Amino acid sequence: MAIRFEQVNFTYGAGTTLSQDVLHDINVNMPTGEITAIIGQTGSGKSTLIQHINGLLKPTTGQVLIDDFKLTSGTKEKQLIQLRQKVGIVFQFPENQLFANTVIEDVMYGPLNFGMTKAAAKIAAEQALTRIGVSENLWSKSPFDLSGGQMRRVAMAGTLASDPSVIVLDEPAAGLDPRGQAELLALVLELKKMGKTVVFISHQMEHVVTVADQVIVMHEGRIVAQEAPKVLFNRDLSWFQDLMLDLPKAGQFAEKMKAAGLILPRRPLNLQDLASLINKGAQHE
Amino acid sequence: MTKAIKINNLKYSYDSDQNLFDDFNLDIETGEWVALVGHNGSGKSTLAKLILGLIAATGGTISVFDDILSPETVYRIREQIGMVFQNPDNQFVGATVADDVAFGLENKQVASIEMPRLIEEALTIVDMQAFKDREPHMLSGGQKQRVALASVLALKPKIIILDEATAMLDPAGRQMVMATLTSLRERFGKALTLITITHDMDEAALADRVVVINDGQLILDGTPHQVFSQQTMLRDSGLELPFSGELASQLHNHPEKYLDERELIQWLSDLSK
Amino acid sequence: MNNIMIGRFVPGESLIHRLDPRTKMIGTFIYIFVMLWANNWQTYLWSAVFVVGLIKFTGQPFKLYWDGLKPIFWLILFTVILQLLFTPGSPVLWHLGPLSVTVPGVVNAIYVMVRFVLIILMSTILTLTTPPTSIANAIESLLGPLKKIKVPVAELALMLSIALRFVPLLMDETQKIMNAQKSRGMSFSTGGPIKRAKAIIPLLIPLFVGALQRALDLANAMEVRGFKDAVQRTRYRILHYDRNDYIAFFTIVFFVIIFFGIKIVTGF
Repeated sequence: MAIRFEQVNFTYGAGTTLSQDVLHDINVNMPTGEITAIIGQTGSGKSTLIQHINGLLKPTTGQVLIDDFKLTSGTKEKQLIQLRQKVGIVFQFPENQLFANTVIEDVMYGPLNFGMTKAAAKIAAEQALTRIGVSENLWSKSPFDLSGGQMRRVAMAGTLASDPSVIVLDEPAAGLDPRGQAELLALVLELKKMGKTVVFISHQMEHVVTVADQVIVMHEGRIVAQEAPKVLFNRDLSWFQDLMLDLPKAGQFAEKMKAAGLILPRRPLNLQDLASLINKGAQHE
Repeated sequence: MTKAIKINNLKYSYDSDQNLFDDFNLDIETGEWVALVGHNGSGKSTLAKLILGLIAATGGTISVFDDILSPETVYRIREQIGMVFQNPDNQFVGATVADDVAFGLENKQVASIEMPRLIEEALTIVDMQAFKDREPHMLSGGQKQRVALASVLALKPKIIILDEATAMLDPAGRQMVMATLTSLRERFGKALTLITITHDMDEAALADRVVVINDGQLILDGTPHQVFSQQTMLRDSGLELPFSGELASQLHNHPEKYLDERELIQWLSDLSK
Repeated sequence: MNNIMIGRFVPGESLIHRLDPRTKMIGTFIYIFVMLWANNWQTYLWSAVFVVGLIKFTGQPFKLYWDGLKPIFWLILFTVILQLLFTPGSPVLWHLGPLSVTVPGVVNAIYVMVRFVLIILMSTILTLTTPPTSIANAIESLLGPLKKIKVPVAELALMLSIALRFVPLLMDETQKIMNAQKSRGMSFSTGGPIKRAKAIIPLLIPLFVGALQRALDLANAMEVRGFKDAVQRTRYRILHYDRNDYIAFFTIVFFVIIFFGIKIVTGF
């Protein structure tokens, strides 16, 4: 039954002069074993939404169901530890959270907090590091001696090591070069293959199209669409313009072709799709 | 003609056992827009810091408008070059937008009475004059980077270097900054030398010249059309082509050399007739 | 996200917002210094009326000031209870062992509370209407004479204004790192004192590393824009007193005269 938001509203600093409504009447589903992408402009409430999945924030009203865990405004801080074991969040620029003397110790931090023995935590950390492609000769180095890309992997291993069944990623590809981005997408798909539920925030529509099973679109703290990428990216161009969202580059290119009088039978999702449509022969108006 | 930047036999290493740059050479002409591209860790950002004398080379020379960089000339050289860094938050010195633009002017000991006009002027170029009294945390990433550009423009530099200035921005912010750069180009023409350091090929495609660096080596250098026609070389250095190039490579019937988006659409259009 | 109101600046166009920051600082000091001489309900009342009047002039809702008082509520309560229990005198209203509540004790407790609240309100007026950099500028200007005895006032003021500029950023960063480590199971609420103290390391180290990185970046950005030292610079913002500042000084003098007038009339 996965993750379900039921009539969730959230207000920052409720009751003070600074209070600010951030989420309005959120009803949304993130199915088990699938990849859900969340898109929307900066400030549309994406980060606030994902912080409800592991109880960093609690709904002001309404509830979030994560499998059999029920998160409401009344949920006690003590209960949250079991939720956080189940839901791992990798924040934007996660390399900023590294702290330990060695890579391996940093990755063991989560598993130890969640009650594993030192030996078990070490095994878990080694497995996570291997899976995520951090080579063994780096494990006993200081995380601060690594390159930016390596640091990000270590940070991600730190979340994977406690074997959460849900993994939430907040713009995991931000700042990575093309090769790094491709590796990251491969990792996301691998997580799905392992049976994990993946939720990720992205500004890059290419990434969304490549990996997501469903897309949630947010605008000003509300959900304005929840559907498969294929359906979503075939919506009217004006809909995207109103929400100030981009089409994937392939779709943008098709729109430009259209403006030049070259009509494709439908709007392509990605580069391969676009190429094959063109190869079949674009119709001149 | 005087070269804006001339780099001769540059040597640099992070630590003693590994050279990042070993006999690196690069000339940048006055008024050119050059994109320095390479994957993360290729050495492209280090190069910018070397040019500004923020770190010291272990060998070779760097000259800026015929002035050879040395401890004696470094301040004079920095007056010619403006730089915008990657992290929008870490380069905002002032408490408000206007104060931030003022910071460089204050250092240059511009008279206080002159400053409001110069600040207004610089902010107008990047279209941020309406935000003059805003504090940095009220701005989006793209807006902060435009303020950073204004802060640099107020000092009237001959060269502006943008070191991955769009890497931390969302697509809207990125477009905003690129549009501002294009407008700078139109406004100043050959009076301004622009160097953009990036790994985004769609950004690099806007430049006059693209220089590809991999592990401290210059591996490709030419117009966007020339460089983007070297698909294999780029892929091997962990880079990709701009979208139109990637697309063209997957078409059965494809153009012989790299075409940008507009050209490719024209080409397809001609083909279908 | 944070409810800390002390030191928060709220932009506005009020008369008080537009005053020279030096005027506001000097005024605040004079007020606090004089108000400490209050010793009967008449002088406290006058002091309170004056502050409430100023608050009106800032154009900000009273609720903002009330929020400013909340964080120190416990401190006030603690002091009030001390006064209540340990002031000797008679008549005694209640006693238990060495503790006793007396009528002078009750009166004292009320005075102490009012004094506390007034000082906080007055300081809040200053910080609420003055951007942090203006406060830094004012400090630089007011400490100007110390340059003669080789105190690096310009450097200190620049450092202060940069530090203030980074406060919101670092608070944000703290929140982010806290969220990241909480997601990795960090907990402050379990274990003994040593374990709890240790639990803060995963928070502190990334914060330090991040702050250091920011400092290095900022240093580069400053150097590139031609910064050499803090002394040989001109200023964009020049402080100058105008008519409103003279009016403000007059108002403060007015407060002081009436205050001591009341004291004299009520017989010290």
